[in-house]
Amino acid sequence: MFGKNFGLNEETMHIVEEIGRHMPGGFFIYKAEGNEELIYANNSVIKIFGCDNLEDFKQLTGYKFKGMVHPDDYQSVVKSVDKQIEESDENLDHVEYRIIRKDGEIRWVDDYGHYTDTIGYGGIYYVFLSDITEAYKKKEMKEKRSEQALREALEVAEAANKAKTVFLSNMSHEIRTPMNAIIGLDSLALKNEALDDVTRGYLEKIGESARHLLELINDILDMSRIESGRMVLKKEEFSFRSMLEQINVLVMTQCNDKGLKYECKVKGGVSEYYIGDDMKLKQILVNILSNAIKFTDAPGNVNLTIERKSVYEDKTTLEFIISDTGIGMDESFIPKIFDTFSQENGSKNNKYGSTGLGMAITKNIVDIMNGTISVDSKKGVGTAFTIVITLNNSKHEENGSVNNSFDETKNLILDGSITENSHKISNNEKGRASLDGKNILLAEDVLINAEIMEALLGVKNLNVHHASNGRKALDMFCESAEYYYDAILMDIRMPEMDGLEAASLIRKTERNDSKSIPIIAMTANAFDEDVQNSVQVGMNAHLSKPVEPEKLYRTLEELIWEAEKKKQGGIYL
Amino acid sequence: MITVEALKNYGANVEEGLARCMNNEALYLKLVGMAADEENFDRLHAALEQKNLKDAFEAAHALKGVIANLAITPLHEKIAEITELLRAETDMDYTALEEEINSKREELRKLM
Repeated sequence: MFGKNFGLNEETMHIVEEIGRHMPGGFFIYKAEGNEELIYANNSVIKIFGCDNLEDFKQLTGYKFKGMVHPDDYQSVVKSVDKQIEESDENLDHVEYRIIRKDGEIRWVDDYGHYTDTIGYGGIYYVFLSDITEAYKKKEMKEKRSEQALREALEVAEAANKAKTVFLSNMSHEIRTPMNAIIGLDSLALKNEALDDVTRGYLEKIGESARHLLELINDILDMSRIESGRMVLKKEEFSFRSMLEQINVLVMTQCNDKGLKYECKVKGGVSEYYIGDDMKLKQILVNILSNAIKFTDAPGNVNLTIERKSVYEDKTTLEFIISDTGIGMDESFIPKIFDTFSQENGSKNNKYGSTGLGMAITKNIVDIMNGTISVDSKKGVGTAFTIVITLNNSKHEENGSVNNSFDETKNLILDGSITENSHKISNNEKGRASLDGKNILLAEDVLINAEIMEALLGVKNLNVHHASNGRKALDMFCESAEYYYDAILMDIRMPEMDGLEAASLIRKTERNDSKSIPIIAMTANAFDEDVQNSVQVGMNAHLSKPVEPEKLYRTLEELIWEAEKKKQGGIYL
Repeated sequence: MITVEALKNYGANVEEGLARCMNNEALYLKLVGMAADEENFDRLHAALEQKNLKDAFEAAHALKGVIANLAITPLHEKIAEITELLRAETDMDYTALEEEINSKREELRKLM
């Protein structure tokens, strides 16, 4: 329609006026520059604004575009138009906004406009305008109504769910009593040596079915407890060592029965005692281990590896990996594995029968613990589950410091053919490196705190290189030679770039020391989410401010020692 | 000139502060001096005037760290209090609290 450098000027303006006079829709033109003064507004526009004539309209709006738009909407209109102009010249720019009519009523309008250059007026916008208030109001009502309907539907669904849960819970209890009777009496009956083979066979099958039923009921009870939010985690001190031993005994028996090889490895300074819920943790591990055993045939392997991933003031993060050389799972099944009642091969005749709830319960418990669980599997090759859990540290070992920690490598190699268990315990103690002459990168924005840290570190003869914010720390790290810095002390709250971002970027750099250099977070915030965030970006430890000198030295010694060992390669810690 | 005695009388936990500076008295006194002139005090005041609670929190939090590090107890309690209120973005009149902080700060400055 209009091209560039349209020949619009005072003389040709009357053509536009003629067109606009009788146009049923609103049409106006205003200057693109300066104060966006209007050049022309047709009668429909004047009517839309509730005015009687042009003079009225000029008074109401100041005859400027800004005066036409509702003050609260002006900014967003400008932004939207600019954005659309940037994106494309092909279409009319479209915005919706409010106007305030002469009688004070607020109306919604539909605005389609475009820019063009004119000979007489310079750059202009020409706009088609309509009042869409009725349609707009209808749309709003409709949205409100569907929101309301959704909300009500949700309430109904939740109420129904709760009712179901309460019902299940009650029924499960009722059912368990006679179940126990059946199982008990069945065992007693089987003790009778005078039974004939046929009857014995019947009784054994009865026992199996009863036990399976009981398992199912227990699982249902667990699920209902989880769903109704009544599953509460204990927070008590427990012996990690004993828990592991109990698990291993159970697993060993099952593996022996099936002719499978089992190995349990513990890496990296796992403590003897922790604070948490050992029963639930055991439930998770046993559940997954049982599955591993169930879905692996002889000759096969089942492995449990436990590694301490990081340690903080009062928490430790542990990673459990359970792997097997079993039948594996199809890739398409993996996303559904934690759903209730999903089994890859659901046919009643499959030899791996189970309740179908185990994985769902396991995942729920992991979630309640704020942990993570993931699985990797290949059909015909095997499966590996990885679970990461954070436990609270127990003060139990404070006296003995690190020397009392769990044995560095405790290998339980259990082969079905060996009747005795061979325990290989190697006593590599948690080592500490010497700090003398080591280079530390200190990221801290408050000068006073930096001076104190430098004094502290100076005592142990450490060379401190100071960065006043995360960005500078990142730059200094990148400009340094590989392995030049032995550790990084990173304050979390800093201007320009905070410690979390800096640590995350450092880990991503392509150097040989990016992943291995110890990064220690320093913060006055001991809040959980700060600690979680530090873990996620790859920090190794966390010290709270004000920093205690002994803790600082010990953390540096341990982490630098670990990093040096890793660099030497080979020795798995 | 500020002295350890004066600081003790003021109420600072001098032993703790010195310990953190590896018992280097000169360093400790120098840092206390720097703390009294900390620009975050002004930043806190400005932010509170503009009712920018987020910025005020950052300033208070930084101050809290510094003051705690040097164990300047009389200031620490008040600053800790205002930090928590600001962390929760509490909408209230901070004038009284600020007054208390400022008066303690002035008291400290007078020791210099």
